[in-house]
Amino acid sequence: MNQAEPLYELLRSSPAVLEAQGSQSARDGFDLRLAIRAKGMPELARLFKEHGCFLEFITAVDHGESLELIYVFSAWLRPFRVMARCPASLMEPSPSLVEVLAAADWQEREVFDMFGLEFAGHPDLKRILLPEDADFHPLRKDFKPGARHGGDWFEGETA
Amino acid sequence: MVERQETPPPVQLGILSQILDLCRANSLWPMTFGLACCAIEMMAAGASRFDLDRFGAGVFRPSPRQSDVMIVAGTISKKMAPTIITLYHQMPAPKWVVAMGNCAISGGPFAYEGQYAIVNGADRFLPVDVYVPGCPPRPEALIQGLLELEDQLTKGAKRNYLRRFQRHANPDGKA
Repeated sequence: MNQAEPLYELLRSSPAVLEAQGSQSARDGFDLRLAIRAKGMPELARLFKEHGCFLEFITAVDHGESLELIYVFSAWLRPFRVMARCPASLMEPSPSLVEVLAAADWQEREVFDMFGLEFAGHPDLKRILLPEDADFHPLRKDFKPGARHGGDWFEGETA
Repeated sequence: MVERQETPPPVQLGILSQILDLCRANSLWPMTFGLACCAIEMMAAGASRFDLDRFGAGVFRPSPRQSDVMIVAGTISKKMAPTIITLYHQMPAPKWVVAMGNCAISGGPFAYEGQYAIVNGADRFLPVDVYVPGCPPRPEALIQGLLELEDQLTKGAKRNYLRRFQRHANPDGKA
């Protein structure tokens, strides 16, 4: 962790951040690992954007009983890469980042496609990789492969 | 399943139709589109080293309205398959389909139980004329597939008088 990084103190003092842990990017690829509050991501995204960082990707992890959203931010002009994790729920939509970062649009659609997590405020939250009539979210732990799903329009006609 | 259009022309032209077939066989115009890594080999086949233009098939058209061969080069996802059908319908007849690579033939490495995103083969919904196996096929294999298609059009390699290479294993061109 580069101590001269301007975002370091700002992130430490942000109320959205629960825990900030420095890391060695040579070892695991990240300079900083953040645990953040469920609703705190748009505020942090604005902070990252103001300090020359871009959204690398959004993904999620299904731990079985809970889900977690993962945001990775990087900067082009200095060695700085951050992973931010926050809890997510299938019941309650997470706030969308599209208002702040347009790059989040398709990323959030992919997370919705694969995990079924919804984002409040997303302009067009629909499936991006799977057919639009699919009725499953394949990266969830409770997904059972092998059953017939949506998008099988060509089956049966050739069987 | 998209059916092959087999309606014969209202006027039979005899020897002239055979000449037309010979012309069609030696000026196949493929459509410019690729679905996965096989498209890289297709581009290599069209570039200077392998040069599909030697066989009249190097004029890759950017519009389905101008092309008569669809080279399905790559993995067909369920999301993409309706678009491929639309493209096929947009091509003017007579038209032919080449399934290039194992994914377009049978799903390739994606053909397993519980697989939810890939269509296992172009022939599930398109009338395929020539299959070119490989993962991905070498450019020579695609060239051989297109020569095979030419021989189908002229109803035999022997009647493909403009054929650049002679067949060795089966000189009569009979299947």
